[in-house]
Amino acid sequence: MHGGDVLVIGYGSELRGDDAAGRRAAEAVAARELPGVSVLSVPQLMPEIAADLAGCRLAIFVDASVVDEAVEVRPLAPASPDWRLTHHVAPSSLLALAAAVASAPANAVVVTIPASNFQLGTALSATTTVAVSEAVDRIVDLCHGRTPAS
Amino acid sequence: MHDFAEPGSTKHAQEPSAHEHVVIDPVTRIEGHAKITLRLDDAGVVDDARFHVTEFRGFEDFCRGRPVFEMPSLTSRTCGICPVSHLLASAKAGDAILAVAIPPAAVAQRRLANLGQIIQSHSLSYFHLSAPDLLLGMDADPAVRNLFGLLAHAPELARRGIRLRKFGQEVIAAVTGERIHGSWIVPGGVAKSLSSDVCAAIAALVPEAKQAAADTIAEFTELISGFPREVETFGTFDSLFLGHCAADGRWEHYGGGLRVIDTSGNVVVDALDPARYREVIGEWGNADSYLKSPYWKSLATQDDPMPGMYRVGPLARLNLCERFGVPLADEALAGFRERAGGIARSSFYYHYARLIEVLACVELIERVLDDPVLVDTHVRASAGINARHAVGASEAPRGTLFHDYTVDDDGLITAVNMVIATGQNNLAMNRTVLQIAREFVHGADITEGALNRVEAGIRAFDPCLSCSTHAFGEMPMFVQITDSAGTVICEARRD
Repeated sequence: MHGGDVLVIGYGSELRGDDAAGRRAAEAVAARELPGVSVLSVPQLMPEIAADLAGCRLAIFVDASVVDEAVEVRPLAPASPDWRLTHHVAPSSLLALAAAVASAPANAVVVTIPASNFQLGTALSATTTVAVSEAVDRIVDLCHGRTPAS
Repeated sequence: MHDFAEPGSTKHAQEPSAHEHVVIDPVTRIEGHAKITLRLDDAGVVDDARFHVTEFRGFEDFCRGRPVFEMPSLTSRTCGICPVSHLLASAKAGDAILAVAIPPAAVAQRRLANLGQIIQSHSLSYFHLSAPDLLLGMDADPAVRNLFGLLAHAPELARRGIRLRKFGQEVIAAVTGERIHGSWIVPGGVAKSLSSDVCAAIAALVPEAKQAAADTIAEFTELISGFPREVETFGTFDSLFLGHCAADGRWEHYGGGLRVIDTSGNVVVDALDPARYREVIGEWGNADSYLKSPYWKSLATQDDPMPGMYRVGPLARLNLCERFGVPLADEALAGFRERAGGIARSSFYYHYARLIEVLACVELIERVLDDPVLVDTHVRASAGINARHAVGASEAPRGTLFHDYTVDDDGLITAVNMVIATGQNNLAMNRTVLQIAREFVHGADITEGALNRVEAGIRAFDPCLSCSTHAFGEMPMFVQITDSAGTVICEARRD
């Protein structure tokens, strides 16, 4: 039940190694109890999160990435949805849903954390563990308004 | 041939032969992977239909050797939609293996979470998966026949659906700590007590949810008048109905015994201990599907389970109960029975029943929140292994769920049988596909509208194949038309 100016959403499986990177970063941000910042840590993005996004100034999606070699912050815009929408949606589709439900956040970014090990297990790889720390710093900066996207 | 492919789909056709089959693969907007085969006779008329589930999970095998205390968390991974159902059935089996009576606060918490789950799952089924068919039309362009199309056509209804599902998820998260796969429920009770603040936060959300559910029922009763042919042909037949029922006839979802009625409303069995399910329910294995077909033993024949077909889930629960015991839902139930003419035979009415259950669950949540026992701090009973075999059962959104465990002296699982709601509806889903295909499919020239109706007949049951085959991801659909010799003469695929 969030009510913040900024909503951080980390997502991924906690049982698939580095796939939990986004959640670990989001939970670390939550532990800092930043004023006006709400955090969701979820296995996957679902349509009802659109209702959480409505009214936020900034949405920060945090996810693991097998493509990026460093922590990246990219702007996000509402986009065409996946027609099969059931219980998993892309961040850009969620923004489109939020716009339709009430209002989309004025700004949205996705923070991606490099990841390589998706085997069964709860441990992050050494590289991703370091990257999570960096991602947390970048997210905190974003929450404080130090962002090119805001 | 019409081009009925949705985005991302492929289609293959062969020259028609004298005896033909239609295959729908994948079936869309359901949970899991499946295909439908329609067999045509020499005159091109559908003479058989089969719903095949093509994925396998294997929980009954890989859970062997695990401690019974791990089973709720393990088996809740069966499904991302109804994990609470598996938590409940599994924990109830665990309770029986410990031979404990769990504290009242634990029962209240479990009830609260299950009510939240029924709301969120039914909201997903109706608003996200089936409302596009109902509001935009069975023949609408499949590119817009989805939640986003619904947002453009009926934004208020779509918003309501998102809000209702969020409400259900919030209830689950408040109780279990997670929207999905919370680990708070354990054999012997629950892991932690609930605070008054959390209860107050849920209570603050109840008025909006109640209004949203009531408004949606009111709209649906208008909407359904536009689907007389679907009401008549979407799985309209006699069958038994099975589900939990309270001793005083009230709708039940967690406790009580099993009640079975026929289409005339006669009670076949009442107050049956779910642990005795094997005495009355058999399980039929299908060579062409991973989905088992449970059947009512006393009606099936040695070679054919179909006479033992029964239905579970919201339609069954509304048919077999006498009342909900909460005012708005009881008023809606009276309207449901008036429209259906008593016992509802049409599987199209699953949608209607689902919406009434959403309203009932919101009202029942309000009632549970008013019970001071909910915040009692004694929430778990402790014991060792006191029974070697036990069955846990509860009502999942899609119907009755059984977890049947055998353990050794150390509480390690030696045998598991899970009887899932979707499987129990398998015979009825096959009959439904056949009935719809005979009404809407004529020869191998299948239209998009006919294809969608066949799928929608399956969706009415809101099947969860991830649960029932022990599947993964969304449910694509594959439809094949074959001739009577089994030669495929047409295929349609959505991945």
